[in-house]
Amino acid sequence: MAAKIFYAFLSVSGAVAYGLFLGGVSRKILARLQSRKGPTPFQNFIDVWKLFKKKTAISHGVMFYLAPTFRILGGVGTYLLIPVVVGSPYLSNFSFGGDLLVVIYFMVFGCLGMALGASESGHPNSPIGVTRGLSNMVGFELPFLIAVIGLAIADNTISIQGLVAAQQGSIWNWNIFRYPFLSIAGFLAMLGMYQSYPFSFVLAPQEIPVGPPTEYSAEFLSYMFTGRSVLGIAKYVLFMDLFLGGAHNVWEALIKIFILFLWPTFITGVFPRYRLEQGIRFFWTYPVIIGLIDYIRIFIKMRG
Amino acid sequence: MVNPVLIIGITLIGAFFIGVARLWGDKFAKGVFWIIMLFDLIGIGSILWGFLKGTITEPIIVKIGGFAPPIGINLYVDIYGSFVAFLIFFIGAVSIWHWFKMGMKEPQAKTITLFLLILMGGTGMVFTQDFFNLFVFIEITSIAAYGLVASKMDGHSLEAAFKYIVVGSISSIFVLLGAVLLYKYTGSLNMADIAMKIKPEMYSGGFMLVAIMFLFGLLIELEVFPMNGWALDIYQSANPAVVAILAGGIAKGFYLVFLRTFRYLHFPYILEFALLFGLTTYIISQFFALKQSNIRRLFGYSSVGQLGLLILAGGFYLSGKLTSTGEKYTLMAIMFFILNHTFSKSTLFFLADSSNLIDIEDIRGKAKNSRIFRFLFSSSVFSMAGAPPFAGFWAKLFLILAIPHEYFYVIAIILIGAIAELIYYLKLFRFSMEENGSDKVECYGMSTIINVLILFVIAMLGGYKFMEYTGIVINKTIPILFGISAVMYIFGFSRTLQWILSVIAVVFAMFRLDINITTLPGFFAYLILAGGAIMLFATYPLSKKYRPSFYSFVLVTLFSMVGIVLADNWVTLFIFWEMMSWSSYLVIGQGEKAGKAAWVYMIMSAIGGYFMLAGINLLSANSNLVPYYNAVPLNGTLWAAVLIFGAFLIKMATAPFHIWAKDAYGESPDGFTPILSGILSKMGVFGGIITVVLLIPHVKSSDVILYGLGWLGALTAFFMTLLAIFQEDAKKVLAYSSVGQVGYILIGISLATALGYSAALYHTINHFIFKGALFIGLAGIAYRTGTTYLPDLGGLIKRMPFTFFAFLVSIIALAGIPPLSGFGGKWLLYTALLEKHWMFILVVAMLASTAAFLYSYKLLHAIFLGQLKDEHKNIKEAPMPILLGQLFLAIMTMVFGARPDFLLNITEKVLVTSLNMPFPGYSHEGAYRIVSTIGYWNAWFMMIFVMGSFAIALIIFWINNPKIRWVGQLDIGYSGEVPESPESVHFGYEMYMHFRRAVGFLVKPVVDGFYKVFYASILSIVDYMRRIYTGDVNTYAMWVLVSLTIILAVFVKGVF
Repeated sequence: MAAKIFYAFLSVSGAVAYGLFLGGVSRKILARLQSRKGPTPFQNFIDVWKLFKKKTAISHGVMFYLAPTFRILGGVGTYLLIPVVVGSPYLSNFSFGGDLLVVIYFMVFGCLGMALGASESGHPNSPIGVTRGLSNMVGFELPFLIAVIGLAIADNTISIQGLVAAQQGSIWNWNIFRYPFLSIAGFLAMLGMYQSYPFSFVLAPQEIPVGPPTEYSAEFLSYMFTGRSVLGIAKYVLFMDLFLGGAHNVWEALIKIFILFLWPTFITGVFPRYRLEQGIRFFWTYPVIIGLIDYIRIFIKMRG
Repeated sequence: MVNPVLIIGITLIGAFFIGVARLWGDKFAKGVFWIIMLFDLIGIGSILWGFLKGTITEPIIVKIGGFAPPIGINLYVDIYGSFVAFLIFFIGAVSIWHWFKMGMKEPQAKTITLFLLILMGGTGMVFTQDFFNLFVFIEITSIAAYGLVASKMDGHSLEAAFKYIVVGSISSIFVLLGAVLLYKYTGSLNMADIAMKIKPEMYSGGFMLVAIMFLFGLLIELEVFPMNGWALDIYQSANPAVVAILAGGIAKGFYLVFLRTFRYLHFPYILEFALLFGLTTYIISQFFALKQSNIRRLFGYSSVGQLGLLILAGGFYLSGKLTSTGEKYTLMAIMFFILNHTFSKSTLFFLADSSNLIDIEDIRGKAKNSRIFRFLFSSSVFSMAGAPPFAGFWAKLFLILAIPHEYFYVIAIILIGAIAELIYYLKLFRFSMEENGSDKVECYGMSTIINVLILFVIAMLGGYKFMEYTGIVINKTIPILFGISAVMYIFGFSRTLQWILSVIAVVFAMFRLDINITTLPGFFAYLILAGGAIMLFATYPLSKKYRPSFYSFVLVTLFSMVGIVLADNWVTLFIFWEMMSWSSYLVIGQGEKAGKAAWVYMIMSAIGGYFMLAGINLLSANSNLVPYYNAVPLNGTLWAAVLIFGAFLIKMATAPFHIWAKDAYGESPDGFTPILSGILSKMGVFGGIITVVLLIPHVKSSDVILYGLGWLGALTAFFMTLLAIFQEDAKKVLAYSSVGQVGYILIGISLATALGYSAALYHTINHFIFKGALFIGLAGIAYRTGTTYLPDLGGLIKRMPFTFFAFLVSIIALAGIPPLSGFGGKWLLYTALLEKHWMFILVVAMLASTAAFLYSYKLLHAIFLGQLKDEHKNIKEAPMPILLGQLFLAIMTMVFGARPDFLLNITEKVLVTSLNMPFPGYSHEGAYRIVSTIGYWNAWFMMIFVMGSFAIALIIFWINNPKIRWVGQLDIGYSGEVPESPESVHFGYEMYMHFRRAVGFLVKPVVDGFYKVFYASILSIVDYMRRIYTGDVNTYAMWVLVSLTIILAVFVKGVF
């Protein structure tokens, strides 16, 4: 167990680093798309370090104080429940803790904690941002569930290892090729999950500047930042396991995560923002209809 | 024993002697009158007592003048005759007592004479054995009745008396003609003689016309539709004491005569006749009453309806279509209908008289201001509306059980009429409990009180007879428990004492009942009793806001629920089900603005109860009318299952029956809402499980039904969650949330797999725990702030931190986020759904649970976070019992979150012992890790992992931030401004406006609108239809002719 914890620690550190790095890369990509020079890919490390060194001077209350801890815990916990490299004793993390259902529900843990802390700050933009985020979540959850439950029914398992194991053998066994329509639904839902641009409702700089973390600063903010990065990596890993056949070693994981990372980043770069209700209606229509196409095949498979 | 002739004779002589007696003064006349009444009562009473005790076994036959029948006239007194005669005299005595008490303004001697005459006529009518003599007694009765109706001497009553004379004369003509023609055909007037002489083949000739003439004359007197306009006018305008004797006594006499005539004439179409007139009259009167605004005419409609029901029951009794058990049941039903109607309706008329009620608006606030009026009025109203344990309830139960399956449409119509009756009676009760500002003390007489006490005696008798006839055995402890609550109700102890007593009673019940938690009934019984004890304990601080009857009704509710789960047949379940509905209705109605909400709740509950009753009728076999659980169901189980499940769905408040839930939860007393949500809605779950186990397997296409139920559960979960998101009152948010959660449980039941049942049972307990904690928490908040309206709250975390902690934990459990217990139920349910490949239901259910985050956050934010309002700056933490209750429950969610095996060990045993299910499709690995065929979940690890990491992260964080300053709530970065007031920066109203823009079209009140339009259209239809009573005597006479034409067309010419 001690070794397990040690490897988990290493794994989390790697995830933090990679998450911050990808954040920097995304800023660079966006800058280039907008014909700016942009910051260095390591800018996020600099930012987090700077924030971390500054001591937070004020607090609005207990929940406000606890929220960064919740946020970190939510990110790290989700990451640790998902096997990065399936079968590896080091990098399958604590995936014995629960199956995909546990992961899906635990994902909200950190967000809810942060939302409560942000709400206690008393700033109106915080709860507005939170409610927008939750509404958005209900939006993208439908196509995401369509995709995930389709895969689970098709392979008759809900454990992540089981889902990865079903995709082994050849690249054509990856779910993205086996169930392309489910994958489309899943990847469209992913845009909402990452708050990428047509669905960027929570932070929405022009409307509710910064949104939930408005009142946070300095070290508190650095925790939030880190937690968010790790949660981002966790979700990439989840998508990798669900659609891209998982990973057999660290390098494969890194590459696949990077490829996944490009999808919301590029979409962010070229789209304007929806209004919230437009976003929800989008999620509840096109991705769902597309995803349902694959259900016909799953039905046939189940009957036969 | 008194000779029956003496009773008639002395009354007749006494009636005319009163005029002479007046010469010695009014007091003397009154004294004479009372002596006569006493003699009659004792005389008939002794005969009736003799029959009841069995000392008189043969009917008493008195030959008048010594001439033997058929030449002479003879009296024939059997148990029914003496029963009705006693009833006539008793209610006559009570009525005239009331009349004296109210200060009789009419010329007394004449009135008393008429009064004695009408009693004599009524008695003679039921005693005589001669058709011509019967006509004479009917004439005496009618003429006395004309006089009594007119005795009020105002325009309305004179007009009513005139109409009565016209229609009554027509009736007499038919009776006389019938008697004459009977003599022509049979050469006799003696009933028994005629009965022997009539042969069935005579009906093929003209004899049918004769029989119909006689019966038709009686039908007019029995106020059948549409020939009853005159009766309604009398009810509306005559003196209530007269009305009481007419409706309560004389009408019953006519009824007995009518049935006798049926029997003596060997009428071949008894049932058809009864169905045509009885059923039509019953259903139409009940519906006409819905729109009636004159309270006395409304009671009149109700009386007419009851007579229709009696005719129907009598028709069934005499038709020979019933089994022998069925006949016994029907006879009991008729007896108790008569008793119940006589005593409760006369009470209502007396109360209308003494409180001077004309319009139904007059009743407003009367019962609210006077406890004794409330008791009298509600007892008689509830007994008319068919509430248990009143006699009307037992009578209805007897009748419905007795009617054979092929007359199912009759049952349906009876129950629909009963719902209409319930609607208008409870509307009266609701009005009487509303505020109107006046606090006038009402006048009521001893006669009313006696009536109501008799009503309770009859109720006990009805229950006793029902148990005796059906052979149902109920747990002996339950009556003791009801006794405790009755004692509390009667003595009205102080609230604190009542609180202590109720908690003790519940705990006592838990030990006394000897229940085993590893069986299905025991599982639910523990939920009810242990849960009830916690809820009752915790809500003590609110008790001073309750009415004195609060705890007794809550106890009845709890113990009825125990009765439900411990039942071993459907009838017992139904009885306790109705008791639960009514007692909970009485508790919900105690909320400050709960009148209408409770009314809707009771109507929906009654609809559910009657669904169940109709289903029970379909289940009952001919040999045994009580369907036991272990009996193999018959054909027709499909509809029985659908109907019975309908009752449970209504209690669960699934769509489309959810309309009662929001207001009933929202307006009920804060101390009762936890029980309502945590325990009472679980009775639907219990019923659902036993229906799926006992009935659904016997249905042909059970898979389709179960799949449909699964969808119903999923859609309920989804739509109720959406509705919860848009509520602005915390109790209403949680109300819809409760319904949605029960929707999940319904999905689990409908799966009908071991894992599905596990999920349902697990979630039942869980939902009780976290929703109980939330509602108790809300009660504390309402106690301190006086509101649960979300926009008025905010920032309470600073003032009520412990409440917040319990609330937070419960909300996390509600949202189903690991590591707390709520997730366990979801995991089990989703796994069960995946195993059964119900994927779309799974998608909808999971989406609904995601949407539940929205209202979870809304509750936490709008109550506890954001800005604290100025008026809440100094409020205190919730009182200790409330705090203890919710913290206890919150800790339970954490315990069960870490160790779900504590609960699962029990549910597994329940499955194996009670449901004959195999061990559910999962296994324990190392006690904590639960592995299904498709997934796994390690609750203990999750708890340790989350708590451990949280502690580590917090310690690092804390060490890192030693100096931190806590700032005021308005110290926020607000575009350089300083906000002036908490309100200006608090976000708490319409928090999901954007979400409403996206999905609001899904939650338009379509279903509510449907119910409203449905009710409104029924009202407008009956409003249009009741114009057939123009109030014009010509029209009334015309309806008599129309009815006669119809009868002749149907029964003589055989048109249909």
